[in-house]
Amino acid sequence: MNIDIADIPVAPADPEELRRCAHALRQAGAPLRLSAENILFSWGMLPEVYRAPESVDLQDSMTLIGPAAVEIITGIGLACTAVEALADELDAIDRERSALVTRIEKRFLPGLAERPIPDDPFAQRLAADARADAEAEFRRDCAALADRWDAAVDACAARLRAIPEIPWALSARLRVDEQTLTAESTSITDAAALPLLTRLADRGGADAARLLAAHPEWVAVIRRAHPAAIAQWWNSLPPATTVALIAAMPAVIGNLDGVAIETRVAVNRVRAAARVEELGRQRLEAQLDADPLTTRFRSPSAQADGRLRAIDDEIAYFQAVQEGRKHLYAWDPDHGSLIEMSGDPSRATSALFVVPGTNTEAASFFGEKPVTRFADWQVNNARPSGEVLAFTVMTGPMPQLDLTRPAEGPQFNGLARARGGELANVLLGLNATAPTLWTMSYEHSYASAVGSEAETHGATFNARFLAGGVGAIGPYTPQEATAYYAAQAPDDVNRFYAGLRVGDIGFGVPPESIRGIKVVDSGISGVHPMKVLYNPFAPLSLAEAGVDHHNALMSDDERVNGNVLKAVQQLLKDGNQK
Amino acid sequence: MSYSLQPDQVIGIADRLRRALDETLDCSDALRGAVEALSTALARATPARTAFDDVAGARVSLSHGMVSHGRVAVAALRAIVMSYVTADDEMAQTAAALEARTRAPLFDPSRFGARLS
Repeated sequence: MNIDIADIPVAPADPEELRRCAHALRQAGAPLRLSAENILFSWGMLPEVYRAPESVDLQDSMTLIGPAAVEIITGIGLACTAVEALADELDAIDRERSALVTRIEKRFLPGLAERPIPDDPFAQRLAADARADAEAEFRRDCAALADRWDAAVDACAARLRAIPEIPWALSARLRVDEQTLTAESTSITDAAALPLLTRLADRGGADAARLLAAHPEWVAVIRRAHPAAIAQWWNSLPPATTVALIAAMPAVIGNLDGVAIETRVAVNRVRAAARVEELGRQRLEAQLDADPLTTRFRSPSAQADGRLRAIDDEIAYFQAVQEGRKHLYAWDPDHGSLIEMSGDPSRATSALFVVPGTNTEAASFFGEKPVTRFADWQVNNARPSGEVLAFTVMTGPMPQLDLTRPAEGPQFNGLARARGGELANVLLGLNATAPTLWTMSYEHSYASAVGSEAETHGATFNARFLAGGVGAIGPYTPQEATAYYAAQAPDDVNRFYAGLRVGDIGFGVPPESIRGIKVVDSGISGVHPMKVLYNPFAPLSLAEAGVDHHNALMSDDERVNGNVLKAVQQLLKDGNQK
Repeated sequence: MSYSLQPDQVIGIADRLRRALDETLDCSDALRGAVEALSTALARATPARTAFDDVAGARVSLSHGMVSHGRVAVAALRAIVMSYVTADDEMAQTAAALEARTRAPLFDPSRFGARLS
């Protein structure tokens, strides 16, 4: 045997590669715990809504999911630890190998400190013996090294075999069924809604009103369908059937995401006329309640006047809708939704969704200073003219700053979760009916968490603008296909608490922390809230200014909110050109 | 036991569960990929590789078993939902007749709405 460095045994694995793979494996296993919790959370809601003799078995069937996830993560973690220990061991042995290599290089490399061998046989014999000894030593060193490698590998194998086996109760009951595993996962909401829609459209829609009267719960099932499935169903209907369905269930069609924009607006215009009549009757009743000369008198004057003013504002609003001066894209008073549209859908190339936040209610759309002003400004100032379609969106109840209703305050994030799915459906409905529109949201305050939540329900806006936003509930991952913008005054009241969350209270991801977000200068001056907080001599007016500056971001007054109005205008213009 | 079903809620839960299981399947596939990568890294350390494959492979199977098992439960829920949405008037009348005979309410009118007359 010649002494050759190439003959020195090398490590049976690359320690760095082992560590990298073990780290990746730990990371791959970790989400399983969250997935299992998500499954169990969803499943845990079932007993509330489904009770039957067979339901108990069904409900109990998922009890093994939690222990299985723990078993997987624990076992994988122990296996990774064993492999990482092997990597450390291999590193230590590799240092011994390096020392051996260095020693060999010093002693035997050609031309390096080799003495010439005299020509006599004795000297030759001595040299040969020395060479044989060196070779024997080299063999022993190599064999020792190989033994060390093998021992390290065997120790790792022993550590891996010491990991407890998966309990039989888990492995036997959670067996893999390849057929189930490879089966296509199809939407249950669509599968449930489409037969109902088909039944409503049977016989040209002649039975629709009767069926819905008999099964009012169908509406909620239908609304869970994906807007694209609704659009496909609606577009396949004969025109006469659509007319019959509109007549039979206008409130459903007027709020159904996936039905064409113009159809919904027209249906809601008719519904507005009925609302005006109803409000007229309510006004008469309110007048009687307020008139001290009638037996119906029961309201103090100020209260009665307030009630009458509210009715008058609402009448004026729905008259405007009835006359086509305003356009209702959605209106469901039972659920608390109202979406007003501005602009011309036949000309528009981009759609802006303005989502107002805390304190938004139906009355916010009525009166002389409606919440739609920001959206209207963008439509009226669109460049090129007419290319922007805007929606001011309230998909359901929003939080209220009302001391009598503390559980509905904006500190709770539950309403953001509830509204997120609905906002997603509004966008998906528009995507299904007007797929060429470039879409952008302008989310004010609390609504920014609604927009972030909508993304988890499949909504992808081309751009999102978080104005004085709370950000996201968290954890949050921004979408690759969306451009993010934010603006707020330095003293915006949201700066007091954005980024703070404990469970159902607060929002853990402030807008500025969202990866890739561009902060737009709001042009609104102010003192950072922390300077107010830590300065006992700071006037209270500074905190009040924070609220004013927060609300200014919904203003259409260019003197107050010019920077943001124009920034959004520019984004819509750029979007139009894409 | 009384029988009650809130269809839209059950549908929502079933679909949410379906999506959660889809995500779990993605996690399981990612886990399998990571296990295979580490097994490849151990290719020349045969005893360790064999032991690792046994330990990790069983866990990958268990994670897929979780999804299989969950999907069976979702399929059962889907069947319940589909029986509800495809129930026709004749079925409702049959149920009504049975209910009249047994005096045991099968449907909760507050959930299902009024029966067709």
